[in-house]
Amino acid sequence: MRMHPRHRHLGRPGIPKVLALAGITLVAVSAAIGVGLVQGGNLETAMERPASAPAWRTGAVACRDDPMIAVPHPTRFVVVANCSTVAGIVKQVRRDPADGELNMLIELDQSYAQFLPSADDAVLRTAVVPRDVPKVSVPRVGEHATLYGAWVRDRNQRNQVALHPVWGVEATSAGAGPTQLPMPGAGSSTAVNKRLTVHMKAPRAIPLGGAMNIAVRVESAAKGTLRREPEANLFFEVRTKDNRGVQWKAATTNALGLARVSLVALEHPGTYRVWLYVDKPGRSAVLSAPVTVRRR
Amino acid sequence: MRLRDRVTRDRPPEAARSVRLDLLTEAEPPGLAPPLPGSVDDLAGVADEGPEAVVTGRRAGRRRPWALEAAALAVIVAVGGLLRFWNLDRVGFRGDEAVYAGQAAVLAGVDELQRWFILMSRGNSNFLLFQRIVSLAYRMFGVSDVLARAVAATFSTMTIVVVFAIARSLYTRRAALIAALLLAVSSYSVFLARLALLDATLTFLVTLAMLCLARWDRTGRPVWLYGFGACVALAIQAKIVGVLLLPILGGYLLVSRRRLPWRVVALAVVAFLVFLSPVLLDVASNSREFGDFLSRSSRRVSHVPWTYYPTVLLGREGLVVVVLWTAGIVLAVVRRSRADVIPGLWLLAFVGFYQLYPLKAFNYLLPSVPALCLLAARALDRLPRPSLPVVRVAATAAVGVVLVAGVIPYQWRALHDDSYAGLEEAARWLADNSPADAGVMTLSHGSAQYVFSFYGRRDAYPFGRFRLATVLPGGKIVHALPSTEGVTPRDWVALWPPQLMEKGTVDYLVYYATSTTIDDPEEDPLVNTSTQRKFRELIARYGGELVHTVYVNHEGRAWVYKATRLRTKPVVTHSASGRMVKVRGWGFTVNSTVKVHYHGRRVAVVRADRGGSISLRFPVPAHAQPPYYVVLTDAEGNYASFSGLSVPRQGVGGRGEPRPQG
Repeated sequence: MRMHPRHRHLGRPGIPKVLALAGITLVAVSAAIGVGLVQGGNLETAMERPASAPAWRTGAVACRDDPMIAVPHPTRFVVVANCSTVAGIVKQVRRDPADGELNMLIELDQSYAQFLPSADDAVLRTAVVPRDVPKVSVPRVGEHATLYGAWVRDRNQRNQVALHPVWGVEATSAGAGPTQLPMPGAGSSTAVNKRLTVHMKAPRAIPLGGAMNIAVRVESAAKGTLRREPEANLFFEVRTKDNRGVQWKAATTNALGLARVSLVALEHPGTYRVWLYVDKPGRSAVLSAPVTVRRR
Repeated sequence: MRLRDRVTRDRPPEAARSVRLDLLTEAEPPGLAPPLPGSVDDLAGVADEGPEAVVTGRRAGRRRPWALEAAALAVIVAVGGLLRFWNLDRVGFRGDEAVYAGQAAVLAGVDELQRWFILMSRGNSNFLLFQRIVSLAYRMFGVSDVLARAVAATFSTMTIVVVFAIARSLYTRRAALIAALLLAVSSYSVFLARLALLDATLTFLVTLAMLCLARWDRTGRPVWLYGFGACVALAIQAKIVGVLLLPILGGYLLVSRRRLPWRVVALAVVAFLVFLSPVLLDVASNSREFGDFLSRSSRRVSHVPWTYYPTVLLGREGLVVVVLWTAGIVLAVVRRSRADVIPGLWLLAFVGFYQLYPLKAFNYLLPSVPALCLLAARALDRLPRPSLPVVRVAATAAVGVVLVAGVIPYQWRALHDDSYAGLEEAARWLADNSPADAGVMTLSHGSAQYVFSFYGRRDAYPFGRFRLATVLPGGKIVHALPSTEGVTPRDWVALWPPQLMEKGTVDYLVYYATSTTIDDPEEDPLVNTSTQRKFRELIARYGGELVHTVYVNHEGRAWVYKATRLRTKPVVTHSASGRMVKVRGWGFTVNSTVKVHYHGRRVAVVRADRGGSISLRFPVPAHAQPPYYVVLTDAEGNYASFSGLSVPRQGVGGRGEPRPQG
């Protein structure tokens, strides 16, 4: 029997062996790169490198640590910057009944165009979430405005960039002046203003997993009488004690001015609050009611 | 003797004496064939150890007879077995387990289950070896979930013995016992051994193949190579990734530069093909389906960061064990010892492949764990031992305490894992409380619905995003539709579920929580992902009525809802005939009262049938005007409306309702 040093340790000798191992490594790495390239195109673009975002302009509006806390269905967004400021001409203002958000299209000033993927289309989508709508001065179409919000990419819109949510708007050009949407009644289960009366009936307590049936009646005061309001846009948001949204639903009132929605209380046991944002053209209201989700 | 001369030159005199004695006692038993020319010396593993290891080996042989070694191994296997078998039925099946157990039951002749389980893998994962073995157990003892898990646990327990044998071939007796112990108490291995998945069987066969390779390395006897060929064929049948054993053999031949006679190669290939023949026959008879499944499933991608597997191992094993494994790898790389070639190639093949393979899962790394345990045992075995007995005992105790403290919390987790608790109970409740033809839909990554087919014998459908084919009740296969931009298909979120609900195929919706961290709602809400939210919306849209909640440890884990309507919104059609209006409607809450209002006044009340449909006639109101609405509202507030009614024109002087007033 004979023991050669080669049999005890691998590394020292054998250029052919080294070359062979190097070849195997090369093939493996090439295969890995190939697989990566093939699969790379297939990966969800949410994993792409985040783009740069416009800087935050301090002073007028406070930056938010967690801007997505108020956004319905926040997982549709990839946050690039918590706080960004942009300015431009307002091209469109529209309330979306499906999510209660106030959508605005802004034609950005030249200095911000670099942050958009396509220089040809310098229009930015922005949105004010329902709970911020009462606090925001809504600019008119054609005005020049500065908007404060979170710079995100929308995974449902082919990763387009957007300012979502917007929680501060300053109209910077002279005009008729911004409008403030009236939102009286926040914090109670009945909201009344001179043009809209809303009643919401929600269960006080429900078992975990049970149905949270909420009935709403929307009426308007006209000529001293109350008239049922059909086709009023309703947006429900269930919030935790620390104001984090956990469930959302949109609905409209029927021809009798009534709506009944059913949410499913698949939330951890605890105290929640159901917020309702009601919107008819030119009129709106906010109200809320507490709900407790019981363990059993 | 040249070897003695060499060892004497390299080592102190005492050690050299020990080595000489050691070589005489630790060499292969008489009768074994000598190593092939140019092969590794059969003593390399022992001679490769440091002086202390050799001394230990020799003295251990005197102090500890084989009975002591066998007793130690028996204790280790008993501990490993206890961890793997204890309280095996604590939680019911998860989806993949139900599929494998269902297939095994079909193989065992339970024809009832043929409606839900087909004898083919929907992915690229297996050729039903595990299921065939389970089916034998089912034939003997009857169909149960524990039995399928016991088969996996048995394979996992046997792997401990095989790892011991490998380490015994390559390293010292002490290293072998340490390797067996590390595998026995590996929390990741225990966790997976307790599930009726394919990985424990695959790992056993991979380890057995590596034992054959190690024995061939030491003895040069061709029979071990034939055994290797047979094990590779069986491993492929357990899970197709067993084919990675072939590149390991290739790498080993390249590194060792062994020469193989053609006759040996031919016989090894024959052994491989003979044991692979069931697969070859299977593929030949179902080549189209097999190719279809293989090509579609190979496009599956996991969108996880590259740190996924380290995170999984850290989460399952804990820092102490992972550090130990890492130390074993580092030591092997630094030493570049002959004895580490086989575990090194083993690790490189499986870890490298799965790190590169775009589809990742928590269970895929199991075949790598024995190799990690071998290298870690080697590292522990080579720890310097103080000469003072007291210090040595103290140091050993300290190492032991650190290991035990590092392992126990993760063992506790492995033994108390209840990720899918509640599914079995929900399925059994449905079996007792729903019609035999009821359909169930549940959150799924492709397989969870089969839990309801296995336990509840109910038609079940998935809700979720995945690229796996779905076997519908009756055996029809629905492939995932091609999706743009490589995103995971949404067929079973947006396309099929509404259709199945509206056809009335699905009656029950089951939501379950996989998480157990109830204490931290902020970090882990019950409804978190987009798919979970969509499922909750589906429950609400179809009027899901909570009919049962499964509680585990006083916490709700599964919620069974009964759909109360077949459409998200009611739909009505109407026709006027003379003075009568005929209305038909669908999608109201089943068996509920539907009130019909015309311009705010109630004109009719009707009851929806068990399908949520209504049909009624009522006279055109006297004050009818086209802008006025007819509104039909059920007990849950769902409504449909239409307008356009008007009082039919009458002839002059004709009888009828008064003319509408403005």
